[in-house]
Amino acid sequence: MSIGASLQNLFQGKRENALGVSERLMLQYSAKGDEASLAALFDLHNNKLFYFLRVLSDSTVAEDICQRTWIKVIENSHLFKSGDNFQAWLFTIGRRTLIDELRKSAKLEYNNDAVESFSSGELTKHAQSTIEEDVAKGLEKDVFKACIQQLPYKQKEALSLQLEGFGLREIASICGAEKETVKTRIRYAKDSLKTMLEKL
Amino acid sequence: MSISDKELQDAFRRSQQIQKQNDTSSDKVNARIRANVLAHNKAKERENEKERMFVLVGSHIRAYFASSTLRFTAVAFAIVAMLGVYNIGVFQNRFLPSRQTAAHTVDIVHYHGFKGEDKLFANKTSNDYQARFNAYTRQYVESDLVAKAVTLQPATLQSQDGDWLLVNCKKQQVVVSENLITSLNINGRIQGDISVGANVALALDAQGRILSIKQSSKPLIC
Repeated sequence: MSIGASLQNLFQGKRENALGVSERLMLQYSAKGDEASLAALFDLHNNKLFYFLRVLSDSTVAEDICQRTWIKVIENSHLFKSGDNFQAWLFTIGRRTLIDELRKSAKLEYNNDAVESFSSGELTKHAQSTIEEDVAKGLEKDVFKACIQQLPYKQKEALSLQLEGFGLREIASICGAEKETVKTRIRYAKDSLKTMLEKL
Repeated sequence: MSISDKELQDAFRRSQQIQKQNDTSSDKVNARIRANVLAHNKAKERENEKERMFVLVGSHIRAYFASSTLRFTAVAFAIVAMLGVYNIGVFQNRFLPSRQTAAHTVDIVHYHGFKGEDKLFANKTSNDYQARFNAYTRQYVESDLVAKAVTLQPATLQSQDGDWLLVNCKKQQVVVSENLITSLNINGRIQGDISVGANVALALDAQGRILSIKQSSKPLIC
């Protein structure tokens, strides 16, 4: 083996070592299409994806979009490149699938500018009623979820992604927005959320 | 007291946990999606397997067509096909009688023979050429014998009053009885419109008997 090839192998090995578990699993799945890798990826990420979609829609839509997202992962596995962040890739697919669905069913969530004009008092009131509904259904009181769901769509989308652990650059990439815009959305979202949580 | 970012983060994680524990259907939903996703993966795997098979078979076929083996096979096939066609022809000739008859049937026959022979055989529809040949030969032999036996004498009809009076080259008179004239007429042995002064040819047999009387347009040379 030549020195060049050895060095290339060395760097490649290093790069593979630097990859996260999910990325390695996805590359393995992309190469071999083995079920075990896909099952492991599903177990690692599905709860987070479902929660993200749940915050942006409802249980039924979230379930449907979740399934469609994973099917897109299977169909487009060849598009995943070494060096990509798997979770960011997965959430990008999930977000786009959800937006397509919301546009198709003409739901208000995505383009509802009226929500953004609600006062914090009104938002708190909505959150309170959501909590009461959950308690009435016999579910554990989840104040945080009730409050974040009251935020405008783009704000709760950006904030959810940040709380999930994505950096500003990744969020901007997932949402297809400028980094500064994302920053602003997150700031507004946090302020509103904190206000609501303090009031409740 | 204001809520910090760290507290928000904790609240988010706690909310995720609550979501997981709270919703009793969450596990079911999760299991359902998982089963569907893995089933889809299996179906895709089978599809890929089929595609791989097609690609493999396709590449083999392409390689085969690109190789010289195909040319040899084509030549061998052509030879086998030709031999097959030849053998079918031989078989038909040998073992199919109907085809054999058909092959020897002659539609048009140019037949050469004596004048009037075609009329002789007009009523015969058979293609028995052996019988035709025999009849031809017999006719020929008979006519040859007649030619040898008959002698022609020129004469002139002088009188037709009851019996015919003929005068030959030797100035001999030949009388032909009324009965003989009638018999010759019945048998068609008097040819032409014979009147007094007409030149005729008397056909006589070996015994000197009149066989026929033919009108002659030109006076015969004695």
